[in-house]
Amino acid sequence: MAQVLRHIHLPGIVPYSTAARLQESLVSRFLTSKPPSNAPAPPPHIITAQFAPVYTCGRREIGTVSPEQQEHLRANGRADFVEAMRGGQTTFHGPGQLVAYPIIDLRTHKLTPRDYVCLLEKSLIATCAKYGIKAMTTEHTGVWTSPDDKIAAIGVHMRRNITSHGIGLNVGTDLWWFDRIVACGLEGKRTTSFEKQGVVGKSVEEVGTEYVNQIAGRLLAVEDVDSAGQEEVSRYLQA
Amino acid sequence: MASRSSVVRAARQLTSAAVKRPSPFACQQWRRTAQMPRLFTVSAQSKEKKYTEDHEWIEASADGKTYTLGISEYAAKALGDVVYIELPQVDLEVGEGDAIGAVESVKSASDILTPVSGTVAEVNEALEQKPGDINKDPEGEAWIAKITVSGEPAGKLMSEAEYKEFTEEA
Repeated sequence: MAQVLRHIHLPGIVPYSTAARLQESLVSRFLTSKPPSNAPAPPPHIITAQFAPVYTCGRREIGTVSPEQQEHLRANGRADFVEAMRGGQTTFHGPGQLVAYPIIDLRTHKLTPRDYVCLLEKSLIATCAKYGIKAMTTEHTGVWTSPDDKIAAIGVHMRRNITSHGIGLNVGTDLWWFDRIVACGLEGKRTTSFEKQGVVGKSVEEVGTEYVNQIAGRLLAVEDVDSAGQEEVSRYLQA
Repeated sequence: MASRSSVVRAARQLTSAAVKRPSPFACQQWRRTAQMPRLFTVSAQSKEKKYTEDHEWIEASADGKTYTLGISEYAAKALGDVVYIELPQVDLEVGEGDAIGAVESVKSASDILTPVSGTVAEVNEALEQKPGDINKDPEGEAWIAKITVSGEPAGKLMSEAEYKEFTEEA
């Protein structure tokens, strides 16, 4: 059965919590449609956004980031600190970074968790290639422009095959934020961005549209992308 | 000595046979479950290993009071190398369908759900130190938790053959 990937772009700079709330409500719509319920499953969704500065830690670090470390991360109130239930370790999201959260049922698209992470990576590499940036995967997850320069991070969560969280791709992110942490627990690695790679003036929104198209093209049973209208988006933002 | 212990064993078998004889309580219980829509047959085979659509397995102990729970070999393979396992707290009360932990591999954390209600009796602490063991023997040594159940599982469960078919469809 042909499906349409619903793309919800949250315009401007939004707090992490706004996207988290939207993501949660979509995940629960998927979960409540599982048997024994007869409710129809919602179509696959993808949320794209740019967050206000926030450090998020992964599930296995919950409770291990000390109050002093959190204080340091908050940089005198300039950034937030959030514990997320996703895989992976501490990372940063902020203005200039594309965040994309696909909310899909892996079973509908016949994907295993490992295939899914691979699909996210391939779509990232193809998006970078579209803008003339050669990117690759290494033994570490995420997408890299060299074995030491990471351009995109991945951290996903699954419950009953329903995905949440996703990727962060640095377009014009202020990389200073990454210098303050050991991103994703990898010592001696750097973070890079489109701008640092010499690709300037691209908006997060246009890169996001490209990424969503790349994802849609790789998802079995998905034939098209349908972008949520302004009215629908402002309803999500108010919720 | 030997003959005496075999007498004891025989006596024990007798008493346990007596316990299994239908009592008014057992009968009542049977009637209650029979009224519910049944998606599968629970009978003599209820002790065999069962699988959920979310790739957990459960297996009842001989007395049917405790279920061992883990993730299937199919799931362990599909996840890839596991780097972290979140186990539930012992004594935690859990309801059917609750997330009781998570398995984390290549940057993805998957929730582990319990198909039975009850109390967590024991967790496989060895997995905290060596989470990668779950890739070696997920349906044996690398079980996740044992749950003292308050009733039989009511949700959809599959036999090994049915589960195999289910995963081949995917």
